[in-house]
Amino acid sequence: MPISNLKPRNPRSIFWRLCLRSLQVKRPQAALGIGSLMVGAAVCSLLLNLYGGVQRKMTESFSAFGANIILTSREVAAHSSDLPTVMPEPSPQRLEALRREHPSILTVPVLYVIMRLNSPAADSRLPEGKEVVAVGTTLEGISAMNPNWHFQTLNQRPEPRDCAVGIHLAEAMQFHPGDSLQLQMLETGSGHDQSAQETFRIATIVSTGASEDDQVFVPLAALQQMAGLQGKVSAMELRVPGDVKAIESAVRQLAKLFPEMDARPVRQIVYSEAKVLGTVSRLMLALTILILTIIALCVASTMTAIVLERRKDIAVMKALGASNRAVMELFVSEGVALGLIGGLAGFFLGALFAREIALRLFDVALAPSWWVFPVVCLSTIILAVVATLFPVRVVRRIQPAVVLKGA
Amino acid sequence: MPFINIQGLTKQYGSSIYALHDVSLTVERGEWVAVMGPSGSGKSTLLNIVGCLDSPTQGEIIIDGQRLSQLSKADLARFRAEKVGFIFQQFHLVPYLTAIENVMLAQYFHSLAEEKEAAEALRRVGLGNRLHHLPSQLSGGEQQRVCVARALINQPNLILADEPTGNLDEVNEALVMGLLADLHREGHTILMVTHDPEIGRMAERRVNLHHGRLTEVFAAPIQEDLLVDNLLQAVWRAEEAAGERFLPADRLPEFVTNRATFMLMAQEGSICLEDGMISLTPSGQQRADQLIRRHRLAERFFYETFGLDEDRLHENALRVEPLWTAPVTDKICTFLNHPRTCPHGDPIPIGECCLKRP
Repeated sequence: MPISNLKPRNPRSIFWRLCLRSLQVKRPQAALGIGSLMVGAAVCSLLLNLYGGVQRKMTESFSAFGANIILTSREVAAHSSDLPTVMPEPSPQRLEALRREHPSILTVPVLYVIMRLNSPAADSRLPEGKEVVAVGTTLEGISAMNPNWHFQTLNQRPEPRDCAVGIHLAEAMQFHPGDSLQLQMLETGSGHDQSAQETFRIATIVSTGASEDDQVFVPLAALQQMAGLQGKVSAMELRVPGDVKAIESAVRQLAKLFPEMDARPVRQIVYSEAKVLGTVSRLMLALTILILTIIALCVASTMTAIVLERRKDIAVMKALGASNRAVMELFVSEGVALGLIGGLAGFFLGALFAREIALRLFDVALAPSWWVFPVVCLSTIILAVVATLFPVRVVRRIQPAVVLKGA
Repeated sequence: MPFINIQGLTKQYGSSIYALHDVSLTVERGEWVAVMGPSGSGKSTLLNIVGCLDSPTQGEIIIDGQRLSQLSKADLARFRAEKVGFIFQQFHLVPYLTAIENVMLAQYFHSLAEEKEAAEALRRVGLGNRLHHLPSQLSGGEQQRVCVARALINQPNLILADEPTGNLDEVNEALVMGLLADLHREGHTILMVTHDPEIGRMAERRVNLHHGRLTEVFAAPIQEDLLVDNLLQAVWRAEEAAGERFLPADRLPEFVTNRATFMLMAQEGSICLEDGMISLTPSGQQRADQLIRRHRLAERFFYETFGLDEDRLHENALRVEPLWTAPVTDKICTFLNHPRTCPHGDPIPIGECCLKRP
């Protein structure tokens, strides 16, 4: 090639040529290094991608258990009863501040009153009357709040006097969707007219697997009217999306907005979720640290082999005037190159595995979290550099005179 | 001030092994010094210490005014990059870099790698068409020439050559030594290690190491001149036998074993070596004529004066002819009445006295 055709290149081009050419020559060792780093990167990518998806899935799963905050009256019930004392229904305006911060918050007012459920007169085999807990609420509200409840709904246009009956109660009273039931107040000596009965149409049979299977759900306004408790509720059920911190923040906000009321998280749901997620994240962290430690040792071993095999090249470079630092810089750059390649490949491999595992084990369609990409790549590069730093210290001890004489 | 000043240099391994023992030596700027000695005499150790690849146990080295003992490791590396060019016996090229990249590597550790400059250095050593070949694709001589180019790329003041032709055949040996001779002419200071007296003869001065101790040997001029005279006569005779002025150099037995000296003679202008052909220059021809004339006149003298047998003439002529100056030769020629042939029938070159005879 004519000399005049040679164009000036980047002064460090010989440096990169030396880096890449030496990796090409030491392909088996380089492949081993890249493979190890790729495994480490894939594990990181897998766990980081998976953790985010699992967290979302668990939050969704726990949210199916219903409300995670209960707002009740601070007053103790005047008489012994399992039912909370009634309180004024929280006004939507006061709840607005909370909604601004948590737009997806779900709120459902509930009023518990013990009433007499009269059986239909037509069937004498059934008990004449039964005391039941009547829950005044909105049927849409409890359906949204409890997605894990099973609703067998009448396929007709809704009516104002529609109610839902728990499945145990329905079986005992042989209720079916479309039947009517009558509720009557119990005598309490409160002076309120309790002789009136109200008839409701059974629009839904609800199966919950809990005590709600023995309850009747009627429109809140109707129950308030019957019980003489207009504008009153026993509690407000809330479901705030998010993790434990978000829920606790909402609790604090409710305490400020409704100082006269008592806002409490449903511990069995909130803290169980936190506990499970905490355990999972600690396990993932421990596994990641263990795997990365093993990877680092493997890469260090590989780089040591590479450095020792190139003792003669190092001696020649020193004879040509290379300082220890210049030679070490070369090998660290090779480590960076291995880390970059391993990190890139590992990220995509890990994301692929995460997607498959999430689908098969958690039934979650998981897309790669792109924030994981720089984290994995950078971590892999750092890991490669750290693993390289120990072997390259061998460079300092290489004496050109000794090595070149023995070559 | 000498360019290299070595004072009391000692390199000791353990308590009793001395690679070098109290070696003192000076080398002037632009001088070519050959360090010679048997294997294990400490030649390479001396070179490595001068080149800052090794450190002495005792003693001091001052190169171009710089005391090496005052330099840190990083400074020594810098000193090597800027001041010293190494030529190794085993070449020590990086196997996965091409010829030009090997030269650029030396540039990189010095300052900036410049591909054009590297290419020019390779072109200068005759490898302009081998820039992008790997060392495995080059012959031994070509690899050593890459080594020479690499050693020179940063224009060092000092060239250290450790057995530069040790792994080369005669042809490549002559090429490489020719390059070194060119460098010497350009003013580079060369410190060369060799065990080959033929190679050592090319240097200005030869020093001898024996068991790590220095003894200095000056090449006797008489011996040098004697060798050159013998080689001139050999060429003359070959030309006479062939009846031609230009001969293939390889066919001359003396050329094969004295390539370096022939190259020296070519540089000094007594012979012409081109394209593998050898011939005498006018000055070489004149000198060879005188030598042949002297020898054959001596044979004639012994034959006519003492009646010696023909098989003893050559040996006796060799004994006396070094003592015959040019006037003495002419007088013998006149005494013998300007003979035209020697007793063997070979023609005697005509001298001035033959032309002047009445």
